[in-house]
Amino acid sequence: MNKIWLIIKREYLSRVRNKSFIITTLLAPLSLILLFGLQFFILTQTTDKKSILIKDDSGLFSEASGEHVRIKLKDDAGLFFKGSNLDLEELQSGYAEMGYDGVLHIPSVSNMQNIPSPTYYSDRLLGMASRMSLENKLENVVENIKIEEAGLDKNMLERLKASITIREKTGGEEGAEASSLIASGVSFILGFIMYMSIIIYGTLVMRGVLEEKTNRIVEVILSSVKPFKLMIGKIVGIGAVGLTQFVIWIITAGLLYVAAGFLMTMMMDPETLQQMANGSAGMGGASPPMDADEMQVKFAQMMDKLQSVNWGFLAVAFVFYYLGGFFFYSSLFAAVGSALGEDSSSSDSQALVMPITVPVIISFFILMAIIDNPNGGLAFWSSIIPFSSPIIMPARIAFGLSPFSIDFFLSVLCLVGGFVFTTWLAAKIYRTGILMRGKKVGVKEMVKWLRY
Amino acid sequence: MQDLLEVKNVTKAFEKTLAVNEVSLGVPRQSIFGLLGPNGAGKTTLIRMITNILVPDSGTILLEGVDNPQERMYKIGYMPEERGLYKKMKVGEQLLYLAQLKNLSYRDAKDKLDFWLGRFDIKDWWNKKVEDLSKGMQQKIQFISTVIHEPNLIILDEPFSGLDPVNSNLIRNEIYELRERGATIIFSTHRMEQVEQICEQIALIHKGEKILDGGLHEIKNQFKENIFKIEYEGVLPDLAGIPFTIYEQAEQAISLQLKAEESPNDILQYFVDKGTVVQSFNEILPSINQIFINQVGGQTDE
Repeated sequence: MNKIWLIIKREYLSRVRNKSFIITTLLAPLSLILLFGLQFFILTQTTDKKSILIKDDSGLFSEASGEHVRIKLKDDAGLFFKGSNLDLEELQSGYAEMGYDGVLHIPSVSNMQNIPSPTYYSDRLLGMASRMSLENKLENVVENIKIEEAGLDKNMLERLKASITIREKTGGEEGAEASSLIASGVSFILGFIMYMSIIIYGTLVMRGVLEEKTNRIVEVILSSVKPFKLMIGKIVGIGAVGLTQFVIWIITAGLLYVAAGFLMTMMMDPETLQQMANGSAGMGGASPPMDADEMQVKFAQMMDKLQSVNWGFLAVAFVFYYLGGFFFYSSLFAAVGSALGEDSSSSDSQALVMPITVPVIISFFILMAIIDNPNGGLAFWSSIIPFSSPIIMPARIAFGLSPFSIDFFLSVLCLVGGFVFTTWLAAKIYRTGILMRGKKVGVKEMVKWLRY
Repeated sequence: MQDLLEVKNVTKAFEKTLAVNEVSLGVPRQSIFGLLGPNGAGKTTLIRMITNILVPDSGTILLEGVDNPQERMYKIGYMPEERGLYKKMKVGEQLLYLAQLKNLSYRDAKDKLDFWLGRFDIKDWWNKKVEDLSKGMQQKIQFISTVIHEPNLIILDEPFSGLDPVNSNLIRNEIYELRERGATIIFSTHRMEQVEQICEQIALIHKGEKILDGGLHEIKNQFKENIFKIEYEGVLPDLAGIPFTIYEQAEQAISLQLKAEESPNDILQYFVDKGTVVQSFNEILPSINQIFINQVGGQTDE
């Protein structure tokens, strides 16, 4: 036991003291934030400006005013309309020269219940957002006409409308109120981190094993400790490096949360708030004074939503699933590392690594699918099977799965059983592979080693 | 006295290949024991079983009369043919780590390390990374890692391969020194001529089987062919009618082979009677290489 400890210590310290550890620990969250920020930015910026010529044969969406045609559709930030009564052919060939992006032709309408589809002519597609916005505008005009024809009072109709948002409650005894949006976001981020860490730290284990083998130091070490201890020491040591990273991140996130909470209580106090508002106004000059009440309410709502997730349980479960998933996969990575040699080509190693990484990648895709339905059959099975449970289960917990549920219990049991099994399997391959030299090794060969 | 290491009927097979077949050996205390055989004879497999890297399919291995693989690991120092160290680790840390794996406490390891670094006059290498050292320097570190825990049994697999003459001599002297202090050394090689210089006891391994073993001189005597060499001055008498078989003739020297019933004195008597000026008279013992080739019928895997 004390030899394993020595090995763990070496594996751990030699990596944690490395500059690259400090850099990745700092950079990973930043790049994650950057990644999501960028995604958000791209999503919000996709609606570029489009000017559209409209040839309205139905007369429903325009009215003639002198020589011009006035379009009833309202312009907005992304779409700009201009009516025309030129021939369609002329417009089709000439819209670009006239400085427009395309032509929308609305055919004449004989039956209000069955409006023929308008056609958009352009050399470029409208794009999802613009198209939906345009369809919406057209629908609104037709609806208004229909309301008028039916002799209804528009104000009355407006009053008849109701807005209902569903509040979801799950989690049994705890009665935690889960906000689907927050849960989806958290699931995705955790799944992504888990996916990255299993691949990155698993590869690290594989490279470490291969390094010892090609270094030839392995024979010296094996004359002091049994191969199993060396393998376990390496896996635990590298796993601890990952864990250290998570603990640093979790503590930082916790501190940020507390800091945010502290900031909020400060804002509760109107005087402080007033001072702050005055201060910023005084200093910034141009910035308008904040609306204290509105901000306070919004902030409280946000904090409330954040609290809908059982963070404590989630953090513990995440650490457990990280360790379980890491052990499960990295022992397989260790087995592959032991089978490779210094002369292994990258395609050799690819062929052996692929069967390990594919289930991880598939699990990540399953995660995307189950975010819409976190309690369906797919979600259940993928959160039980140890190949995917480390990525799927934290997501289900974010969606409010109770720590006392049978699903969670089964999943933990299967994962523990799973990594005991893969470690046992890997140890058998490892102890033969690590001493093997100059031989090309395939999966077939590795299976044979199991019987030695 | 009981042998330090006793290997009894040890067998190891990989799939259908018998790497080591029913090998038995005794290595006397404080001896320098040569384990000989061509590449692929099974030496490394045998050593790996002694060092407990591999487990024999059958047979027992006793160190100081005890069959305890775990204990054995701590009492053996092993330098594999393929040397290796962690390239990115510093010399001091690395040796401390390897010594502790051999069950030394941190404090003991530190003391021993101070001694050895001082002995080789390389104390200032403590904070150097192994990859920054020359090959010869790395060999020294490797040697220290092998002997730092004061093993009873030191196993060196091809210890002189890749060593320059200076380091080679240094290691050779250290081997003698360690033996003086009570260690037993097993020295594995396929280069037979090295063995004759260093070893007292040998075992010959071929295709997984032990062909012969024993004291170097006993073996040589056992396989001697009664060949004697006379060096002389002047001219030889007419060799026609000489009563001995001529084995070899060279400038100012002649080797003769005796029949079993003849004595070396008969040769001397003959030449003295003929008036030849004899300068030296020696028995020619076969080299280990010759013995080996005779035993395996000239077929090696090299």
